[in-house]
Amino acid sequence: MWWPLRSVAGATIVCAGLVVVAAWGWTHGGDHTKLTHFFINVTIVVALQSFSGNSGILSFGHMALFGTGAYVAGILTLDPALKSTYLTSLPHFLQDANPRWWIALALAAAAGGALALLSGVPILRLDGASAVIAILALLLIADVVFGAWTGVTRGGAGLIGLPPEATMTRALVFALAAVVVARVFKDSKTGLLLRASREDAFSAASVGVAVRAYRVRAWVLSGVIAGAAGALFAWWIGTISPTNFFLAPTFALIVMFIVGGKRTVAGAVVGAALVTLVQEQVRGYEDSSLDLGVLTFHRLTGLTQLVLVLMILLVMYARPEGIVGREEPDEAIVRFLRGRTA
Amino acid sequence: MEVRGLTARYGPVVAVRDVDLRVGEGEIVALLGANGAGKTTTLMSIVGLHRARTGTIELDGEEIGHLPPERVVRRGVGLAPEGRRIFARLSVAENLRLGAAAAGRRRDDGARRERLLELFPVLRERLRLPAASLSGGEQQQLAIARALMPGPRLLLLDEPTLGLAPKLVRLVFDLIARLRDEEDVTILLVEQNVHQALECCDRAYLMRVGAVEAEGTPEELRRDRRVQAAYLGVPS
Amino acid sequence: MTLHEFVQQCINGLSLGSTYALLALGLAMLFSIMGLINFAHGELLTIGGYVMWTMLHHDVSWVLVVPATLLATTLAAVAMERIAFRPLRGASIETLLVTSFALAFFIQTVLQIGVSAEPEPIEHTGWSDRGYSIGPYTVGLIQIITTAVTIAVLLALVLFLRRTLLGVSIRAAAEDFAVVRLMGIPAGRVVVAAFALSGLLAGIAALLFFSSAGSVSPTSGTAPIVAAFIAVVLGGLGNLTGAVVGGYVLGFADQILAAVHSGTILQFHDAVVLAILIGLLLLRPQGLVGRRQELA
Repeated sequence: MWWPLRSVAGATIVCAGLVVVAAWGWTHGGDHTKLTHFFINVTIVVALQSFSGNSGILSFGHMALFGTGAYVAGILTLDPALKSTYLTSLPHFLQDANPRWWIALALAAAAGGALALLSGVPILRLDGASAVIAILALLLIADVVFGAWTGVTRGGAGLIGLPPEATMTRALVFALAAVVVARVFKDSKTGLLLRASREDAFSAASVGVAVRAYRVRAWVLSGVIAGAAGALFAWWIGTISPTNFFLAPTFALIVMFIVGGKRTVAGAVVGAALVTLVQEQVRGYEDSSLDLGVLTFHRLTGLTQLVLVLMILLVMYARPEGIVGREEPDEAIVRFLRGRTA
Repeated sequence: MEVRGLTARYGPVVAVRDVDLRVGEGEIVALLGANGAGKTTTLMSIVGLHRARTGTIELDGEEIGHLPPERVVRRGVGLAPEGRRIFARLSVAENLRLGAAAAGRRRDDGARRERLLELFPVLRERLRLPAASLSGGEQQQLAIARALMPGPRLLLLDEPTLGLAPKLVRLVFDLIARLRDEEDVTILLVEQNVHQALECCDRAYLMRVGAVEAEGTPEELRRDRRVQAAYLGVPS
Repeated sequence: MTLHEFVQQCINGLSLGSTYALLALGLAMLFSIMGLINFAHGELLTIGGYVMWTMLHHDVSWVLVVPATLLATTLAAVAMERIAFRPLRGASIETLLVTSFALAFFIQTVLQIGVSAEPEPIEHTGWSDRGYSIGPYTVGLIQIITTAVTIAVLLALVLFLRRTLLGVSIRAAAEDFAVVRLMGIPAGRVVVAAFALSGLLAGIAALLFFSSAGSVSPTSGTAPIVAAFIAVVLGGLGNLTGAVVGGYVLGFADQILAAVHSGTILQFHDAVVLAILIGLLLLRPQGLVGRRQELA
């Protein structure tokens, strides 16, 4: 069987799960914000997984790619009248532009990919700790640019009034696409070789695997998906500013990645589900106060983050492989069946 | 020292398989074999640095297999590791000082160091220099001297002549003999240099692919056809 | 920018550089021994700041504030090792990284919930505004004090690392941790000592930093620690001398760039520094000061 089909088939379990969740949303009507948030989270964490899960290099910089996509989409789809007022450094054709959402999203994805290509070629020559730090530096640079280039991004004040183009259906479609693409990539020659090199960069390199080129490929793919996710995020949330793409969201993303299991696409989805659940449900408690008799906490700001911290620490100590572990669900099923018939 | 049933792994790979060794007090015992035979892993297991293993390791009849390397060393076992592994950026004197730490004494034992500098005069000239500036042979001497600082009763030497010129190889073997005679140290020597090892040791073991293939006195082993074929250049 | 302005800005950057240098040194020490990039190091600074705030708020004299702060940060660092990192001994670098990241957020959140998410003011001690003229230059009292303290600390540290057995062990551990154990030196002790030292350094940095910063908030540690990371990389990952040099270089650079580009375009200066950093990592992975080493 042509190998991508096998991967697609393998991804159906996860995709089915996503569709089921969406179906639940359709049948229950009402506000689909939380589910849309979930699908967007799936897309971004799958982006991270396709790079870090395969290459073994933990990326703290995905929010740079994500944010780039968000800002590109936001700038493009912001009301032209507002644009000329607020975004004074934009060239006129951009200020007047008001493209359809899917064009804006395509451009956002392309921007993510472009940034990935630009940064990946130099950065991915490094190994180990250096690469991680360089990617972190990318995050810091992006944060500074988002905040300081006020003529284009409106800096700390942020872009407001972004159109609500992120419906649940659209978010679902992109989440499904991301899952399939990530799975196909993982099982592709590039993906396999990357995973082999993850264990030992030196021997892989000596066998003739152009490790760097493969890493760049994964990084660029990751950037494209992240850019698309960013566009959807911008439309979902309606207002973006640099803090949406800095350390705290990076942490949430890492939690999603690790808790579910960094080796599998299914793990990424599970992680996204858990974290979205926490984000949506716990946030409501943050404004309340807690009276324990001895101690009184007036505002539980940061409770969400606390729960995320506890989640990831639990996984780190008790089950570092993550909830899903090393195998995709379909791989586990196949192995089980083979064991039965052998 | 006695080792019984030692089996050591690296993940799924078994590097040492059910090995039995005995080193009597005052002996020089050689552990011979080709690369990958499991000799270094055996030494690392004895000293406690390699933990993925089963089997019994006894020193003077007392089980030491469960102890961490820090404690094994304090019981009187010294190791000059493969590749020397001296602290390159520290001075020779600092390297020696660290070696003495195993003796558990607070003060530097100057007398001990003097004795070792007598045995290894070239180190005396280089005391203040960074260890990285020493030649290969000098670094090997430093590694051995460092292991000797706390006055161990059992000294493990892992390939001390690796990469050394013939004259220095001679020097090292002379040293080993001197150590046994003058310092009252029992020595377990891992070597690929079979000829010379057999000349200076009292007994030897031959390891191959993780298991002990032959053991005996040097004469016995020289007569052993397997040793002859593999190492002494005698066609089988 | 004239030479005079340049030198003046460098002088102005001394206190910032000292803070960065002390933080970077603590980071570099941990990295050199354990390969650990401790994201939570910035939180040690924050904890120092909160201890200072609590005590000054209650009108405790500085004579007590100083040792209390140092004790607090040192203990916090040791606690970090004991509770968060020791159980993970031998785990992959990735695991350690993520855990330290989580730890950083944990401490921040605890402070947010336990104290407040809002900044708390720290008594602006009057002496930090004073200045003296030395030749054509103005030297602030704060610059003098921070530089003097930092030099004293560095000297003490050098003595410790060279003269004491524990100090020599730490230097050795940075080269070959396993062999240090062969010296009969308990591995745990060396690690704890390194953490304690890094905590102490962070405490000193906190005292210097918050004396002029004016306030402390749960995220106070973020900006300085980012700078400290940059300094560590500039100096060559794990190279202690390099970390100090990197800290000062960065302090000067920050000061100069801020003065020159106080206009619109280059609040970007941070980004410029970071981009230079990446370039540096590529061209000279051993940093400005280090020697070329083989990848371990």
